[in-house]
Amino acid sequence: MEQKELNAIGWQCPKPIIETKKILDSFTEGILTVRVDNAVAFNNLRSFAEDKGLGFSSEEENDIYVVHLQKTAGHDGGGVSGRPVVVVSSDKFGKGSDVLGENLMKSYLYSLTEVNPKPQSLIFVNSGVFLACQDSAVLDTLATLEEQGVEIFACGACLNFYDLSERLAIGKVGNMYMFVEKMNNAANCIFI
Amino acid sequence: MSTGCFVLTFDSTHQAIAMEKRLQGIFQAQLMPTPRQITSGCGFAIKVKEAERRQLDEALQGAEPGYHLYLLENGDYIRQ
Repeated sequence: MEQKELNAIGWQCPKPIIETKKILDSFTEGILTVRVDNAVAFNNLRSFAEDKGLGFSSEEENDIYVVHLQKTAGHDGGGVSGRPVVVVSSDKFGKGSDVLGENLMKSYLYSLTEVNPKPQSLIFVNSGVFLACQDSAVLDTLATLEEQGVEIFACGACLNFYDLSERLAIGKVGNMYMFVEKMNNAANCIFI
Repeated sequence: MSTGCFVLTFDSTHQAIAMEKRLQGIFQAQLMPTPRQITSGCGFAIKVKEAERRQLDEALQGAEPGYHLYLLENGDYIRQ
């Protein structure tokens, strides 16, 4: 069983995750202790551990987060992710009343901020991309999810179709190849 | 959920949606599912920051009955 330490203080994301992954990939079994000095890096490490099925524990010492990641034997540390991928294909939740659907969507996305495990990714396609654009009523909620380590993607073709390419307010632009890979590699894929 | 905030619950979904629309023009009100600890009411609730109490009281003046106000403190919902 190996034991290593990584001092990632002062590093900006995604460097702490990249270096953490490199070390864990070299382990068969062991514990890696990572020190980071900001909440974003800490949350990303927690999401990474959930994503990869690693043991996770942490403590805080003088504004420094000390994170312990445990990899057990037989764990390949990658491949199929345990956290769901959520595909949002409309700006409303369900069919029926538009007003009800808009409010159900607000309620659904807010709920994601409070439950665990978080999705690894939120993928907005078709009219769902409106939710990630300027004037969306859920931008604050999406920003919270992003801080909590959820990746947010909006379909580039859809942004273009709705003439929203200049109005994307959160997340990154993705294409269908990326979405297909994410869906295929997820243990669980949820369509809204 | 974060502590130190108010949660409004409603007897009907229509009331919740109408109130959310009404409050949005005054301050930021977050629509959310009704917390599981509060069993009564419809499925929608509205979260309001504790600091917005004065504006909330003003906004609720003249509102139709059928809403219920709770203060979330240390994990407990205290009926106001």
